[in-house]
Amino acid sequence: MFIGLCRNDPHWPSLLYDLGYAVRMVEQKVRAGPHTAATPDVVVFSGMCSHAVVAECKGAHSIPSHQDAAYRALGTADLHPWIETGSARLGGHTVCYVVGADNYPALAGQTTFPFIVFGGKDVKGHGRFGNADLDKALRTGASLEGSREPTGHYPFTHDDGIPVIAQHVLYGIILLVRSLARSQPLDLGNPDAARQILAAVHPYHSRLSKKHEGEIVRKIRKIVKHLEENGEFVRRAEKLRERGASYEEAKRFMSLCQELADRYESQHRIDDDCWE
Amino acid sequence: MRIGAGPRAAAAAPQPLRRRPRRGRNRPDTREAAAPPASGSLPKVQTGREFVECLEEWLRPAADGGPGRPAGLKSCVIESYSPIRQRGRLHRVKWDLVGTGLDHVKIMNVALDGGAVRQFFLDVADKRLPTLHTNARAEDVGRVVDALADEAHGTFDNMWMHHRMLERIAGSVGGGLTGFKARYVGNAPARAGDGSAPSGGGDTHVSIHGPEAERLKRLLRGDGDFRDMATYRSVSILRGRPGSESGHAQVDILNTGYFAARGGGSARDHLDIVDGSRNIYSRAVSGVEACQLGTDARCEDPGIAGGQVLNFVLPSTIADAERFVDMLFNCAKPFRLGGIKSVVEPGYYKVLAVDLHTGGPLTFEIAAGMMRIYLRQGSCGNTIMRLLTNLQSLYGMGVECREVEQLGG
Repeated sequence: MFIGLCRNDPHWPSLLYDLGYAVRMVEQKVRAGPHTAATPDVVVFSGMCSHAVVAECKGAHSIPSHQDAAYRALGTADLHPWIETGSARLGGHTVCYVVGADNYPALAGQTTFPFIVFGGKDVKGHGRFGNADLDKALRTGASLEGSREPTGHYPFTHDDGIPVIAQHVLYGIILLVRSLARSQPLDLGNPDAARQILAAVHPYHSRLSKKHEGEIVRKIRKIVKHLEENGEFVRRAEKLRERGASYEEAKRFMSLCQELADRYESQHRIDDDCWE
Repeated sequence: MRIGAGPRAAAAAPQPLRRRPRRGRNRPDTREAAAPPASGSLPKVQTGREFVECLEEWLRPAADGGPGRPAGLKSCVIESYSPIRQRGRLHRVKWDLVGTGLDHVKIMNVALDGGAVRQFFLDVADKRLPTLHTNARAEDVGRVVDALADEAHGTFDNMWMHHRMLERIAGSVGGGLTGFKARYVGNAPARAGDGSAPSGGGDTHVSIHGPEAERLKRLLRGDGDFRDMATYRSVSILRGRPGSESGHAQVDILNTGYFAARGGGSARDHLDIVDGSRNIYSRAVSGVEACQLGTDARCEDPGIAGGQVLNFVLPSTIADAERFVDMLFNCAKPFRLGGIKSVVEPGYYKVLAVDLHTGGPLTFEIAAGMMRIYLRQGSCGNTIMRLLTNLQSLYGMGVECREVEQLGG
């Protein structure tokens, strides 16, 4: 949702795009002062404002104190190597937390950094963002009524539950099976399969921290194990691999994947812990 | 010099397959080549001039009383996902290539459904977008190109030119638009606005040619009901001046990358039109592929994010987004898309999609009036061109994508 603010999109507010902000880094580890490092979720930069916003997206009810301390230690000079390429010049930066309206009250007292808050009806900034134009734009905010949330910029995070990640795993398997030659076996039990699936479905997989990647891979393995126990799924996947040139076979496999994705989604609604 | 037209009669009835088809992209077939044609072999041209003279021979009017469109110079630009092998086999076709004196021109012998062999000049100057030249009948050329582009595990595809691209081509590589054709599927404009592919009520064909073509096009576009009917499926363009010493070429260009000479005797002008169109298309496809999201591997700093989302505008005739989604991702031609659908909110859908032709990944978000597309690493630009062109063929100019339509110029 936050990345969407930096895009020129007729169906989503372009609050940051209008001020020249564009996504510069995603999940990039940067030095934060002499002794520590931080891995902000997204860093956006505006050449027009000579300013960067370092955004940390929070789905939880607490901000780890070491993380907040690392952001306090982050200096503008730490961002220079990443931002000042070509003619771009960085005059200053602001760290902020991006949260949902439900979490904001609990998080607001835990930090001095400003917040961008996504509510059901609008998106607004709370606090000072270090740039007059940005302050004004975020104080006014933008309505989300009738808008269409962009979900594809960052498909899922380590915080997402297995049922959410399951549809991406099914999708990744479709992509893998389509790319396998007839002579290559389909081996979902292979320890590398989970990482291959992640690489196929997550555009920023290479930027994930080891910790976050590990959490996601563990979840993918659980889903794959579950799928491997489904005889029909394995049989159809094998058939598609063998007969990749058949639209009919592709349609049959996709229908089964859709059925499974729907089932996982409904399980999610009924029992969030069904995977444990 | 007589350039052989190939054994026309032999293509009549498709033969049953003799062998289980082999899979794989542009897979070499070392077992057997397509047999040489029965008669009228193409010459192994040695110079560019000889090549042009051969094509010019096909531009001359020939007495032809057979069924179908008359023989004459036709060119087809296709997309090849990998360099074309010396010999290859797909589900319905097999081919072999024979060299000529020109590095970029080969003779391609193609056997369709185990039947007789057809010959084409194959220009591989652009390896991704090679061009076939022939004087075979239009329907025979269509059968061969369809068979090449048909396979689900794609080796080849058509060159898909959306409305604005045809307009741009008419304005840039030719002397100008002299006519156009449009086919509106269903009983346009009074179609059911339910999002399904329009059907029933018969198709509406629009064919306008001649000096008043531009004026009539403006007239059609000025009418709200008929605006979309002026969405091109083909354009006729003229390059050079008829009667001038340097010659001219009149060419019909279909939105599938098919170029049929309709008049004039200048093969050079014909080739300029084909090459110019291909270059515009090539730039557009590269431009689409530059929209792939992710960290930009081309930058020195791998952490820097790149890419762009494609925003499609859908016409109000597509009122039922769910039916539209089901139609679009039904794993069938012409879109060749499949995927996993989920509901973001009522009336708003996300589809994790795959192009079954190329295997490329894409993510869609679709609601009434809008469609967002996120390209991933490995997404093919041709997928988007195919999608836009076919949506415009079905629903008219009401389908727009500014990010794509601006590319190629």
